[in-house]
Amino acid sequence: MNSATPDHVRVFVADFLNRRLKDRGQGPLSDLPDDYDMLLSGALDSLAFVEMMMAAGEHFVGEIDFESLDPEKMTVVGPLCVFVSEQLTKRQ
Amino acid sequence: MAVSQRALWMGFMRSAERFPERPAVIVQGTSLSYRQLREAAIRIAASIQAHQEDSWTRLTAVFAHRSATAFAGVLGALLAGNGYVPLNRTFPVTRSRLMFERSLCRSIIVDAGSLPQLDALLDRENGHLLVIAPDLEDSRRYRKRWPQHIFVDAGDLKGCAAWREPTQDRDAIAYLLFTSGSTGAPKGVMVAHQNVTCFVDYAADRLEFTERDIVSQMFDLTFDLSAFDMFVSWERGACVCCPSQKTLINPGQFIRYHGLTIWFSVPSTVSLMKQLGLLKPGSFPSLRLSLFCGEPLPVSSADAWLRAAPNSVLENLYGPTELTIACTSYRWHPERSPGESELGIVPIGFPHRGMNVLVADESLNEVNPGAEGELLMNGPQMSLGYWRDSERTSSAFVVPPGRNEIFYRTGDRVRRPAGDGPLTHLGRIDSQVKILGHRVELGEVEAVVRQISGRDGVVAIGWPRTLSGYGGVAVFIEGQSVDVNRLRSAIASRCPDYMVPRRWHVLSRLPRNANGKFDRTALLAILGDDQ
Repeated sequence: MNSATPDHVRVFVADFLNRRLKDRGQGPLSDLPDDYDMLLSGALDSLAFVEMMMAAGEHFVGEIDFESLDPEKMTVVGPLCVFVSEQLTKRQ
Repeated sequence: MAVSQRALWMGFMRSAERFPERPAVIVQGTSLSYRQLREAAIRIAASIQAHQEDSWTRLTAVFAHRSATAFAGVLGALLAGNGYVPLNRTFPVTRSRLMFERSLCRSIIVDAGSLPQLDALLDRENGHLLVIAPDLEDSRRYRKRWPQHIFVDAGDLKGCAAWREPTQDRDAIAYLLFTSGSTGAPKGVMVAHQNVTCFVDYAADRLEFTERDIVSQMFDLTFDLSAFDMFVSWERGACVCCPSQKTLINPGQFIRYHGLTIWFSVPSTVSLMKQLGLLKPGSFPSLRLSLFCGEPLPVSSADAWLRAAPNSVLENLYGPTELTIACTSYRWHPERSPGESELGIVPIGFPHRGMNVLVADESLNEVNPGAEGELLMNGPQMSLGYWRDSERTSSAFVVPPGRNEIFYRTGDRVRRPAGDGPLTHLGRIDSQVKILGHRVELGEVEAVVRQISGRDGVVAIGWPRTLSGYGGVAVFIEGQSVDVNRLRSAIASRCPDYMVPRRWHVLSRLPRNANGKFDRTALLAILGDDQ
């Protein structure tokens, strides 16, 4: 099992976003601030966001409860990393 | 058969008289009453009428997405006496520009979110246009850049008193909707007022819409099922509830938060929600009606949905854009339906009021009861054909041998009912491929994989291409931890070798197109990289 501190989740998210940007012929993000909204910035659409969450569950070998996901906050990097970390730690 | 003589906007206006303070639409977190939406739409309509020239095509583009202006714009175009042409800012702007240019629209309504793409949309436009931007406070920058066009911003909109009720020819275009054409160039389907009002009358009666209903609006305006959400709801004073892009992440929360009573989506949404564990039993008690359309609905998806929405009736709708929104329906019955389903797919049911069915062979002669063939239909929902494309229109809208009426060829393969049973959908005519000389229905391969894997998201594709057809089948499965070796053995024990997929791809999410359907072109691109 991969450890899932908020920092570990942030590395995973940055990697996922950069891979998608590369697929679209765009360069990597130079910075990933806490208030970066992945949806509103156009980096991900809603389905790609769901895909990222599922990939996170696979990567960290844990289950993320989508029911408790607040979409208003959860597309923002900072709150997302804390949420995913808490979800995965709770289930370990 | 009585043909509807009404214009499409009349149902909304009648509800605005009856229920002025009830919510007509909830969008971007704001609720607009019928009175407010009526006023916004009339001001747009009056502004179009004030500037529109007689020589202009009676069409107005609506370049707006999930906003109050999108809904007011659709109604505003209609109330000006024009048809609307939806454009979508989530599409590549080159595609939107192609649609705009082909439509010959001289007027366009733009919302705040689409304004950043407006310059690119107008880039090759040499004519004289009317641009209505109700969300724009100051249009000076656009006026300076595009002096040949008229810009109407929030401050320039006409008052309601300036609006003149249009006279409407029942064959006038209500909306012109561009669908993907096989050549890659979008083709515009001309849908008349009488086509849509016939559908709306039937659907609103049959599904018993009332002013107490709260209806999901999952479809973008560029998908014709959005016309169901808006016009069936507004016909009866119901509320259209439009999720934001963020809300789409968790449709379950959206249903519960707004207490939706009617749900309408493509079946792929069910498949995704099931995979995310969002279809827990009893999750959506507020739903009284659940409708699916746009793709084959797997029996397993219908079962899972009904467990999550135990108070709901479930219907599977079917219909190409050319036959206006949906032209057949099937109501799920827990005891009878599994037996009536074929290849694990829920039947498409029975034709709507006034619509006629012909199941025909390759020569367009009717097949015997119980046999399969291409579905052809005609009736009051049959659209006017393709915009400025008589060649495509005459090849799709045909008079079969021995008949004297035009039918639309759907390109869908169905089974003609042997008795009074429902029509069952068996796949696309063009999803039948030749593999090493054998005729294979890809829908059948998908059905077997779906059944054995227990996954709903399954797409089979003929691959690789050979001179005589295809060398085999590639299959894509949506999910995680799929035991491909076990699946391959199980399928090999049930199917001939040439039907057993040669290439397997398990993806956490299958790519979907703008309408939420599985994107076969994107899947082919994956195979292209995997030769």
